[in-house]
Amino acid sequence: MTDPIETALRSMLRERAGDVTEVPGAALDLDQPHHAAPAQASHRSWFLVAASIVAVLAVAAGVVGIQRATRHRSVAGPTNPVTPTSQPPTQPSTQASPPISAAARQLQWSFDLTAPSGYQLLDRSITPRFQTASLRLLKDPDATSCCGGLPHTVYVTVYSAGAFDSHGVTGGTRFDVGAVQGYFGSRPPGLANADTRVGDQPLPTVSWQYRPDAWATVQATTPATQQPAQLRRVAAAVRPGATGVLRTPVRLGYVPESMKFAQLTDDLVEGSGANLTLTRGPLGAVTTTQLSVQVWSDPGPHQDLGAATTVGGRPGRLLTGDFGASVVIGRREVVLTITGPLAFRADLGRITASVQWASNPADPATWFDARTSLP
Amino acid sequence: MTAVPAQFPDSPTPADRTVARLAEASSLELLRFGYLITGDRHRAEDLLQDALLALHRRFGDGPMPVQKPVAYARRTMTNLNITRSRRSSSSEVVVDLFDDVPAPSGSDPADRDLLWQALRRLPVRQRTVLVLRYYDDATDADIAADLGCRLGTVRSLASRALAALRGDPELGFSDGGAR
Repeated sequence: MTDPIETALRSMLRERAGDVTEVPGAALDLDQPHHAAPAQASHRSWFLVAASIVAVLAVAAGVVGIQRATRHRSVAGPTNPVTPTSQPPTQPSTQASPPISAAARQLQWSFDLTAPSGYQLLDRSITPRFQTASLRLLKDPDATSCCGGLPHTVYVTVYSAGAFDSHGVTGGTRFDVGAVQGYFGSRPPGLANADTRVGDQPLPTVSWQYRPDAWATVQATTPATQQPAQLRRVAAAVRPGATGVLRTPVRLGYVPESMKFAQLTDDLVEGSGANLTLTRGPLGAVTTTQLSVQVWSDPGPHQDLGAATTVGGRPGRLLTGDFGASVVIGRREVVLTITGPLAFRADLGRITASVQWASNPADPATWFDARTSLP
Repeated sequence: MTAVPAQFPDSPTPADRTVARLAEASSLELLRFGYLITGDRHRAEDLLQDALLALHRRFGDGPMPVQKPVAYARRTMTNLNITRSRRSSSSEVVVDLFDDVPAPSGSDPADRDLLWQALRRLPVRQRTVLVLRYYDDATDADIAADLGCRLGTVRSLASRALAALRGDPELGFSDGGAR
């Protein structure tokens, strides 16, 4: 089923792109490269003609300052529902916990990472095959914005046993991580799938085995973070084997059969929320049926959309566009969506009816251990 | 005015990867992209110019060491636009706005396009993701790669942006009924 707003967007954007039919090169005048009209003080004259551009660029480069991306943006504290074991909630939910299913067992960090001094931990992610963490070096002159947000410049990936293709790794330079023998080499990003892909170019990579059959890597994307000393600092901070409990405000009593846990992402600082995803099919494919539970750190725009409904006994909104349901609790919003074949969406009512809320869903301290959040 | 240039090759040789070659072959494509993410032709022109300047300062006259120069330029434009948006919201004082040619109110089709106006009102991050997804037909994974961010971030931004558009009363997508 095609969403009408998506269809409208495609059509509109193509129409609007047609507003630009030519490059205004007539303004090119190498003798007067900056003859902006008085009424257009912010509109510099256009002087991009291929035969002259390099010469013009060379002159203009000394005149026009290109500011680098914002480097020292203050950030809010963590707003996520994930609580490392080292920081247990003060009053976890006392409601009876169901047995932990095989799928739900994966909803637990299996490595710990405290950002080294000068770094900031930005987000973490769990999939059945690997877990990741993204960091940034706070004072990094080459970091640019990531989608307008904080620049993710260092990626830690801890692979499950057997999930890492170590072919060629041991041919790299020996690069010990603490007491563990590791290797340094140039490795392509996207070692596992698109979620770890950070571009096209091979990246300086430190790889080491934290168990005989399991690998971890650190990859960096900027000159400052690619320094061996910096890679070693981050790698040394990774502690595979430590466990951390994830917490969620909802527990699902029902999910459609055949849907498997695919990913949990957790934006620690930018408020994009936590997203628990189950799929029937490959993650990200258009044809894949996907069920997601998103916990946002703000109320969001859904509260004025759709029709009234109830989710686990709480008032919410039925979202026909996203095909899901939204409940605003305190300053947070919990959104359950299901995408995929139309027939499958009939399960949404059963899913929302099966929702059980933590005793005080506005207080993360009362949330459930995520391992009990799936049937 | 320059003629519509040839498309930049999909698999550029090193000689094709210079900033000059990029500007020659892809200015129109990049200008359109800039127009969509800024919502303003003049800003798009400034943005493209600044992006090409930045690329030249970084790579000089030689080949750009990237496989996809157009995508790299788009990424540069995106980040410059976002940075500029932040800076303008905090420090820039707009004293007046002028069109190239004075036009009667409502004579521009874009002015009458409510969805276009709504898109322009979105935060720049959300607007950019929608442009990449629905104009470039990029997959979320490709957008994440182009912008250098995580797949989950792209999905989050797109979800928020679409929800905001659905909730815009002028667009009529917020009736809550089946479509």
